[in-house]
Amino acid sequence: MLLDVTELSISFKSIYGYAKILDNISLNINKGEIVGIVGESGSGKSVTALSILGLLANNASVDGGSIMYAGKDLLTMREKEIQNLRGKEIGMVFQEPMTALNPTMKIGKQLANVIRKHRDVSRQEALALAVESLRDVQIPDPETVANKYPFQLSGGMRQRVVIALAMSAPPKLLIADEPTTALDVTVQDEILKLMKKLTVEKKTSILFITHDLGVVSKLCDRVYVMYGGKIVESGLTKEVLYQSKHPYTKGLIESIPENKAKEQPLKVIEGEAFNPKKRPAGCIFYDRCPLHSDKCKTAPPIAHFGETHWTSCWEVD
Amino acid sequence: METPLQQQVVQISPSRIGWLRFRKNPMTLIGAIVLVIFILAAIFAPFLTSYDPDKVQMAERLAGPSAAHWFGTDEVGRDIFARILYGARLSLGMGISVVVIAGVLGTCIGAVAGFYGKALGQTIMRIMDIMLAFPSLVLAMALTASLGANLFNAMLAIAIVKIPVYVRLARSETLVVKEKLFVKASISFGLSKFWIIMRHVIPNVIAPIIIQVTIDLGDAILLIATLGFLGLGAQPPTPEWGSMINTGWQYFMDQWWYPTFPGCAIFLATLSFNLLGDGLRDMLDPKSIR
Amino acid sequence: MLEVNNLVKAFDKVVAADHVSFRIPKGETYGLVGESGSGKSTIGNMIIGLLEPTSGEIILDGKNLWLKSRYERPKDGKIQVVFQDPQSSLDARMTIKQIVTEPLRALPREERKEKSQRGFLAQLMKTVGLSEDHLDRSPHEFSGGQRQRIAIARAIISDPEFIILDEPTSALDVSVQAQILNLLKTLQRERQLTYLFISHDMSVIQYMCDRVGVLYHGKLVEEADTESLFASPKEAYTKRLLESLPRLFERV
Repeated sequence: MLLDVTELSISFKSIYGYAKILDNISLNINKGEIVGIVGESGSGKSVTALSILGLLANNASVDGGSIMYAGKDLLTMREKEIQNLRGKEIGMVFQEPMTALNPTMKIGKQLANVIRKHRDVSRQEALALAVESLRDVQIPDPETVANKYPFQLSGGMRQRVVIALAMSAPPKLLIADEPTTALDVTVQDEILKLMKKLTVEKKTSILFITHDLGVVSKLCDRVYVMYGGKIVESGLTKEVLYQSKHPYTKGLIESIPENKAKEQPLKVIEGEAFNPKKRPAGCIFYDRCPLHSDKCKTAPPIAHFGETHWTSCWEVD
Repeated sequence: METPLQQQVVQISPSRIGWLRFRKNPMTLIGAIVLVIFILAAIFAPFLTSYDPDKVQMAERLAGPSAAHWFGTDEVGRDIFARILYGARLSLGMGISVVVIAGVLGTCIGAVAGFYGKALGQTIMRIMDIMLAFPSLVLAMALTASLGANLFNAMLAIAIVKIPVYVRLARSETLVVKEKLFVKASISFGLSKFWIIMRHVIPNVIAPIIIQVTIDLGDAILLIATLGFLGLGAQPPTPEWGSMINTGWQYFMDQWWYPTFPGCAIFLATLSFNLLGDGLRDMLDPKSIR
Repeated sequence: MLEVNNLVKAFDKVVAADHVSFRIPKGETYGLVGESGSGKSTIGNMIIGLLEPTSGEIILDGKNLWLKSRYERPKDGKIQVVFQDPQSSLDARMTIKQIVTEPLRALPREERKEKSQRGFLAQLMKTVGLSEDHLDRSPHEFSGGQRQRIAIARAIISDPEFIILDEPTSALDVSVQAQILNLLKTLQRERQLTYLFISHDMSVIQYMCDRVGVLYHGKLVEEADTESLFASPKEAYTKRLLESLPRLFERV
């Protein structure tokens, strides 16, 4: 197991109040896997990703749990230790490529700088390796691109550069937080194919955060469905998407307009997006669940379906 | 996609956020308190001193601070404490009205310049650029000198000098607000441009303007005092802090109190306005959400 | 109902809309789909009067909307728009009541009075799935989905016949999107509305629209009724677009 998150709980404090964002979540990633975390706003999926590399804001506090990587708990590591891991062993790609790139530095130079941090090479060698990594992410004419500034590239190209940056070590784990959400669908398709290719070539595992179930079905081997800071269902992608057990997962799939009859209204999940300040005592999905009953006022048990598939609900058999 | 933190924000209004931040900042509080003291002093001047600020009493001239005259007297025996209190009325009153006028006029001109763009907007901005090319004090001096040295002209000059800053500020904020979807929505309903500027642009542009006004108040007070000190503003015997120093500085060696107290008054008034302005900026700046 | 002929919009050297022509008959939902830079929003903006076309015609019910650089907005509020971003399409400094009744200012006095009545507004709120006491609150108290409902209420208060929906659900969560799409469909049925539905999301377009126009770099490269377009696309770009869709279900 590459990364093992156990019973992680995180809350945020600000002048607005106090809110628990993650409530006892556990997940893991193995070598060579692409694991997806899917959820909507308020699900806590981004916070999960940021907490792995210690990138949460100052007002976040970890209330419990551990994140084990290579035998050590990332949560108890000192800043210096984590800094050594960042980029080298665990890389990260965010949604907005423009914020990850320095707008005043040429692409090649930025890449070379990062490469030199992780590998012991000279400046010229680093520049050459930079061009190579641009080629790896399928950027046409990498030598010319290396000489350009970020603003001269399109969104898709910039995201490829960011991926190249994140993969420069190459890391053992790549965390991607909605990396294709801001991109056109044709570009997204290419980026997803690229990520799959890189996983195989560089033997990097990917933790892919998204709200798009379609992307999950295309890319991920396993998936965790998050709602309100809890994991409500988990398993192999085909199990979770095509044999969904949790009412939320089922509801989500039914609300997607894809492949639905036009004359029928979409089956909706009633209610509004989850509000972390109004956390129910029992099942997290109580307010919006079509199957809720008095039982659900206490926390539901885990129900297993086969080796890999489980969900947290009272109403399943 | 909303982040969890943004979702928490959903429940709280912008004004409550502002108030909570205001409370946390000690410097702003100090500035506000000092300012309130000044304002109260100015309003209640006649109750705080029994002396007439203009009454000449040669027998008591150049007396040091004592129980009778808290801040001493000047070269014709007028009580300095009284003159400072009444001077506060002048400085604060003039300062506030000048800046408010400049602010209101400047905002309107700036909003129009930003909203209408092209020829009208550019013309306005170039005029403002010319005005801004001169250091404010020099321009104010030149205007006062040419118009005649008195308090009214000094006020006029300062107002004119301050307008370009507001025009610029209002215009750049307007350019941003203009692109917001709710403005586009209003245009799509067929509402008049006047309505949109009044109802949507100005309320959304007002926050930085208010901050600028508070900061400028400090500067205005300083400018009035400077012009007074240079003999270009209030003329004696008007109890204006700057002109008090104008006459008083030559007495500095032996009668230190004469220029010092007005000087402190100017310093404190300006400082408290600046602190308040800084605090307000933190309070109203939507970007510094933590 | 709406006719767009040879519409062109050029910004200096960049041609955002390149001789685009299409027709939308009354009661239909026409989808305009494209990626970024396709010009779909530009076209929407030209139809609603926010952007002046470089050349071409936009004709609503037989009348030209753009005449000599002036937009001739139908005075009865016949044409309205719902924007993408529920955050910035509502003025945070107004109450919901003020926001929703704002379009009435451009309408004749009679109608304005009638529709400002509390009873009428309460009914309007109900229609979009909100309640009467929401009228006195401010936008920041609502979630994205609710704000979009407010935007829709605002768009239908003038009893329009034609509504431009510019990516109305793109900023919303999937579960909320479903509610809004259902609402839009219900409103269309009940009020005989004609929609121009602009989006980049092919599955939403497939579900909502009767006919679809595909835009690529400002040109309308293919146009067909929804079923045919999705079942047998003719142009290379359309095919590419459909292939890239990450699909949950096998294509029927």
